Amino acid sequence: MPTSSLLTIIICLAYAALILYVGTGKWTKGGQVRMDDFFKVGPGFGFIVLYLGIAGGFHTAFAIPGSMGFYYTHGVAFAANILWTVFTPLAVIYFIGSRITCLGKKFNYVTPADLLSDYFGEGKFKIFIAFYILLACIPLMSANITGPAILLSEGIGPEYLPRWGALCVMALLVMVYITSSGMRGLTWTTVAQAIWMFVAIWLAAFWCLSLVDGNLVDLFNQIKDGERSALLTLPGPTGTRTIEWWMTWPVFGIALYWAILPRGFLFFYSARDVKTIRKIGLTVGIYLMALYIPAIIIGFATVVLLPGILDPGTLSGMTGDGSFPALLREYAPWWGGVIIAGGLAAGMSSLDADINANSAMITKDFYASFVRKNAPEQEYIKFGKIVMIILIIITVLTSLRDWGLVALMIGVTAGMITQLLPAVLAVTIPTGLRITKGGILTGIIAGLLSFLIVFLGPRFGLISLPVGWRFDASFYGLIVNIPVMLIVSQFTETPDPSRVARIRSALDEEFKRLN
Amino acid sequence: MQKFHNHLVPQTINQWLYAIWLIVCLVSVWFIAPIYFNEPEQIFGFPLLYAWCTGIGIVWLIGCMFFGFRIEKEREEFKKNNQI
Repeated sequence: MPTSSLLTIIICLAYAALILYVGTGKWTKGGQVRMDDFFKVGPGFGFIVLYLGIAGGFHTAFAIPGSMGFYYTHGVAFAANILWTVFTPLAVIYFIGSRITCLGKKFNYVTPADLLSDYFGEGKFKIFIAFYILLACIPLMSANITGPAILLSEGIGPEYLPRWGALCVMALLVMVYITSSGMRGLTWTTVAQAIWMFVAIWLAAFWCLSLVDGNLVDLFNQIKDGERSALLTLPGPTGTRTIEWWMTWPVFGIALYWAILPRGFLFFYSARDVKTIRKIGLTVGIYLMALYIPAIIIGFATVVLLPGILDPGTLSGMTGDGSFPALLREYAPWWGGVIIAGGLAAGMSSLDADINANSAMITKDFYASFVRKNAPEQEYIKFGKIVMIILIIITVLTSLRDWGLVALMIGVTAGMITQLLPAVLAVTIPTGLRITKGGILTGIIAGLLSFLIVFLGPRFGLISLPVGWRFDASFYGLIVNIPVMLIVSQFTETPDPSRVARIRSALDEEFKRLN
Repeated sequence: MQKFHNHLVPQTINQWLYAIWLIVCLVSVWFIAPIYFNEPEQIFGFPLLYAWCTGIGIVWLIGCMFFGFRIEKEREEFKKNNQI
């Protein structure tokens, strides 16, 4: 085995030991054996821990190796990340996240369906929401394990650690700490992972800069004078990153759904108070944006150093994910393991949060609501841990399949979660509009169908959108969802007024008028 | 129709400034950037579109943090004065 592979293994083992120590230590043990202190943190985390928890938990494998792969494939179009790294915290977390925290603390919610069904009514609606979200999140979990597993396998050498082996290593790590300590463990590990991935991506950028003689202007000019100068402007070499794409995908395909993923709800519920979340909303954009700033250097350096590994004519968004691992394979420094472990941190920090959130939904919204009501809390936690293990196994099995299919399904995740936005807004932002459970359900279904037609239709040759109308599919879903929801709501039963009054009164109490 | 308070409507000067800053910067990246800054020019070695968006991103964060923390201070004072 070459020395570089050995060093990579040693560094990754050090990372694994750190994560297991942080994720299972005494600080991860809650005082009570209760669902609301396992899947979330009942007393709540303070600013610093939750800040890094959210910062790391929000970044997925899309950060490493996805972002540099995007620059490699589509070029400067990734600058649109400002529309989610800055807009999501300042608008969605600050305004909506703080209201989710307010209601979650007040009524002790554990899952996203708790919040929605408390307003619109329990029963089948709750289980529909829970399984809808679960279905949406499985591809996301697969993506978060697949990208880093490729990085790990390539970094060590596929002959020593094949991709399936890397998948199993990551799955085992997550399984140990998440079943040991639930939300507490995953948040503490995410703190460590957030710091590690931040250091790793900046180190990687300086290393890449050193590979191209350390001069950014030269790097820019080499791209400008090369065959792929289209990387410097929209619509990029593939011609797909158009202005319509820019105006819809970053906002409707990411920014608006990013914070209302189930893991977001669990983080919001785990805040000590509403003020903590507002402060995180105001400041977490610094971390989120700063993590992506150096990705352009890595992506563009890879274009210069490895121009021929992908055919520009046939590139798609996800095939570029292989570019950074390929660069590491060719040029890795002796400390390349630090970067690879950074990739593991990016994927694991959101994989564990998704596993926890989905296990919470199956346990609380299905098992505790329909199968075994009023069972001892220990039983629910035991059931939740079994669900976590099953979800991790499903994630690994789906990740062994074709990566292109997983990538396609991530788009479906975004489209599905975005359709929940009107329901979340209806609960958290009181308006005079009549919005009912029937309206919400019909809107979600109509929005999802429209999304699927636009998203999958062109891929299977069923429809072709004319130039100038190629907006993101999530956008089409939402513009069908909202009017359908409003129209159907006019003819269906309104939520129980006492429930609505109770929730609005809780919001009024926290967000009173200041003048 | 049930009585409601929409707390998203700005009530104080700082809340208005936060909202205006949020929207102006959003428009600068969302609409202005791809139309007016989509050129193969470089700023310190970075493509123009990237430099514009990142620059606005930094200004966006600083401005909203400034107004946001002032709103927090107002909120604290309001709670103190009204003994909430």
